[in-house]
Amino acid sequence: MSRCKKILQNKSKKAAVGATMSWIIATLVIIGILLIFIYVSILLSKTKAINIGNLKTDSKEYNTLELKTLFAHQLANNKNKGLIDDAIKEQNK
Amino acid sequence: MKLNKGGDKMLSVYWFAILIIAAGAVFAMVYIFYNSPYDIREIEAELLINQIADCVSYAGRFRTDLVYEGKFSEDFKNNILKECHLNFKSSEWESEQYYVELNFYKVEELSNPPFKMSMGNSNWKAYCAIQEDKEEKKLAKCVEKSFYSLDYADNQYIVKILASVGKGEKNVKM
Repeated sequence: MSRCKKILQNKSKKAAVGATMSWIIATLVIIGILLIFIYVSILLSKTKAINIGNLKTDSKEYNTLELKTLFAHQLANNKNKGLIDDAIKEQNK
Repeated sequence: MKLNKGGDKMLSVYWFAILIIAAGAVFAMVYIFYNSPYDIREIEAELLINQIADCVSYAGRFRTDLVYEGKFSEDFKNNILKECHLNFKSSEWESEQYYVELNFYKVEELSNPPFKMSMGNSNWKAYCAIQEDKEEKKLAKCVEKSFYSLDYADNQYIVKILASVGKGEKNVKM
């Protein structure tokens, strides 16, 4: 009887340890997932720097300065067009 | 059959702890996201450049009170803010938070501008030189754009406009 009792006691200890380990691992998984969510919110807060690149659409639209340049080229009959466009491209980098 | 009351108490404490951790995490997420401001300085600088460009040049030609027969007007240069309907002063800030510089280059000589204009707080210009290699969010935001225009004598010019916007405290988490 005492041997049976010892065996039962050992088994219940193992079961208790196993259950405790499961709870600890589950807690760590929950904390890990929460940390991932916090990291994602940090990344999302960095997208708050709004620049023109974020607002551009796929369609080809001339901006104000490009339109002015186009008008001027028309008026000057495209005189020095290549040189001017290269210079503007270089300066706008 | 004995009920494991001690175990139930432990479980309740555990679930409360998990609840507090989860609530703390949600609070942290919301705080981190909403505590950082939107940075719209680049858009402001581009709008300022567009406004100035519209002011000095229309339909491909410069205003006659800016440049006439190849000569630039010093009067326009001294009153450019008034001419372009701009006011850089604000009750919200002690110093002006904007700086704009225009350089007019002749197409024949692109290295040396024969005429320059500037307005606003020139202290912001120094931050643009610092950020040439790498952008620093906490410093002033600088945008530089160029366009081409003619005067009424058909002289060709490239105009380079540099706009710098301060307002770091309102746009960046310091």
